Amino acid sequence: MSEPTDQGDEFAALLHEAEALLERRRYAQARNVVARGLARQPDHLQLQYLGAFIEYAQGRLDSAQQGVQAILARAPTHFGARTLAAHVHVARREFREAEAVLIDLLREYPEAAGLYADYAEVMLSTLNIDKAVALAREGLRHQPDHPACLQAIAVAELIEGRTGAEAENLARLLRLHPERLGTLTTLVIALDDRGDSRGALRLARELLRSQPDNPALVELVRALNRQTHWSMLPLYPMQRWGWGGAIAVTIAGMAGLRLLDGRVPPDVYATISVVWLIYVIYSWVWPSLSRRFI
Amino acid sequence: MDESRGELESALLADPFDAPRRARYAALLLAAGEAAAALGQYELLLRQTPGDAAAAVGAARALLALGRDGDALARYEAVRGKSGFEPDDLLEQRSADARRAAPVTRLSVVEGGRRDRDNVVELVRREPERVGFDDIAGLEDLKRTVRLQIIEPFLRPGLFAKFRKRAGGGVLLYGPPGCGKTMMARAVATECNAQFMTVGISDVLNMYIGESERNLAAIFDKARHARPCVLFFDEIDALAYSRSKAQSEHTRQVVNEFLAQLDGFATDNQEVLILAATNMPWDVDPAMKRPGRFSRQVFVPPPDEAARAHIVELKLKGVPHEGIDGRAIAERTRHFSGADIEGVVELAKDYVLEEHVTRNVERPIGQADLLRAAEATEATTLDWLRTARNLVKYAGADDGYKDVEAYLRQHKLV
Repeated sequence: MSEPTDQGDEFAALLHEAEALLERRRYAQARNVVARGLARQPDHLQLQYLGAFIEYAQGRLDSAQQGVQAILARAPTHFGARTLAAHVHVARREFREAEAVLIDLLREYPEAAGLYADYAEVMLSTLNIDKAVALAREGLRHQPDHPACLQAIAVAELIEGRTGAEAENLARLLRLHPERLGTLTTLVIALDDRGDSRGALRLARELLRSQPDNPALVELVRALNRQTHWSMLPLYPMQRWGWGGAIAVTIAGMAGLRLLDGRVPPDVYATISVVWLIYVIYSWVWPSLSRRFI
Repeated sequence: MDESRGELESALLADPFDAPRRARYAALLLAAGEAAAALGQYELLLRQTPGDAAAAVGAARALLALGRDGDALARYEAVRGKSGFEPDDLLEQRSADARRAAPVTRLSVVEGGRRDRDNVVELVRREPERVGFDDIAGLEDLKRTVRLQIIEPFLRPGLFAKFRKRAGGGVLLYGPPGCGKTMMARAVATECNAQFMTVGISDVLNMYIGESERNLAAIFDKARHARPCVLFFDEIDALAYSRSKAQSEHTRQVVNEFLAQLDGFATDNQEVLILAATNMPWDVDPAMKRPGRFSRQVFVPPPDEAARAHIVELKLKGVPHEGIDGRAIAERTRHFSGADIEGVVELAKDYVLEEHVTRNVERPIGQADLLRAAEATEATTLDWLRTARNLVKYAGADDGYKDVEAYLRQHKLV
């Protein structure tokens, strides 16, 4: 009589081992554990789901999708597989399909804050900012501390430049989930947005130290490195205020040249004009060129 | 200067590295009854200013408020006596109560019935195979470092004490996969004339709550009884996974227990050397690298040219071969790990066997086979070295990675 329980325990242990390995990003080992379990019970749904998740985590999206489809063919209501299907669609930038899956899920689980956060992320990716905020707020109504919902709102408000509200949501995120990678990445963006590129760089480096194999973080640090490089100092107005800064600098330069015309000796005026021209060319060429060198 | 909560939050938002303000903010949260949030702030503070005893005490207070008394006391005891430590009345009281209540359940499990002792024997595998430094090809610089930093302090603690040189504490071997970290650890055990006890993730992790922690405690207990011995934790990143990255409480608790065991061991580590190896040192909890734990970190690089030539020679031993120039193969296998070179030799064997089966031509392995196999194989260390380059070049890695930096510079990879 004890056999089913023993077998149940054994599979529970296998699942626990695979999940623990997955949490530690030991995908190859986790895959072996799942394969070991599936060799004994090929139709074990949870093991199949973990197998598909491992494929997704390693970026093998085709294989992940196949895995998800196999599970959903047998168990169309499997929550994990459906959520994973949405994530696979997002990773493939198939936002319409992801949205359809998430709406379907939300109909059945209207209180799952994580689903609102996922949906909000899809909306952020398609720049439907207002809808993203509304979804994340709805998620927070069900679970007031949900980190992904808080982050979605903070990011949305950063995109829209609502600094006061953004600080408030970001502060909340920092208070409740200070060590979460997403929180810190949002803080990096916020610091940079406020013109504190050096602070942003320090924090981004700190993050990269704990995840040096994260290509997005490497790119972020590289971008901030370029931004804070001494050669970018003359371009500060453009960096800080974007197009507004560029227009202001151009108008100021033109006005300055016009003002100096006839008031300074012609050779001095010519030198200033050349310097101005070099500056203008520099401001256009150097930011893209610097990618190669910095 | 009493700042309000809002003011502190704004200030920390503007400067996340303002440690005194973060400490005040954490204390304020704790006083307001938001223990979980306070704990998060203290953990962050400890990451930013490792060794801050006041922050560790604060974290212990937060843990206590969360009802995690065991973790709180372990954290508190770990910083006792460190610079900046100020006793906390409540924690002192709890600590005294805990001492009076000893022996605690965990210890009774380890030291009690025979069953647990038997489990311990099952948990820790003793390696019968003896490997010495002579069996490791090349890596002379590394062997010298290991001898000076690990073996001699273990064999001659008196000499090192005379020069007030700190001995004890664990040693973390890190580097790309397949480059001989485990073999180096085995060789250390042989050179130290000690037993070698190896522990892997599956020896510790268990799905039942508290069982993983008990397994860990049992392993350390076993090591104490097997002196002199080298206790080797393979893939330590899996056991001591960074708590800030961990998603489950279970993982964090295993790390807490590991830290508590290491701290307990620091006071009684005669004739026990703790070694660990990892391919992903950045995934190891930063608290593991503090003094008294794994404060010494040794980089195990891919084999150098002489070592690669020697490995080729070793792998061809007993296999028909002719006219092999090990140096030339070594030149064509830059950055290859020992495992990669073994793969090259295996592939060369396949070429020869294929010819034998399909065309009935029997011949030994030649230089061309090995070169062809080397051409078809990519060094598996390159991914690791690229990641290490990110760390050194962009993240401004700390002193712990200076050997990696030197290696990358030497090979013009950074």
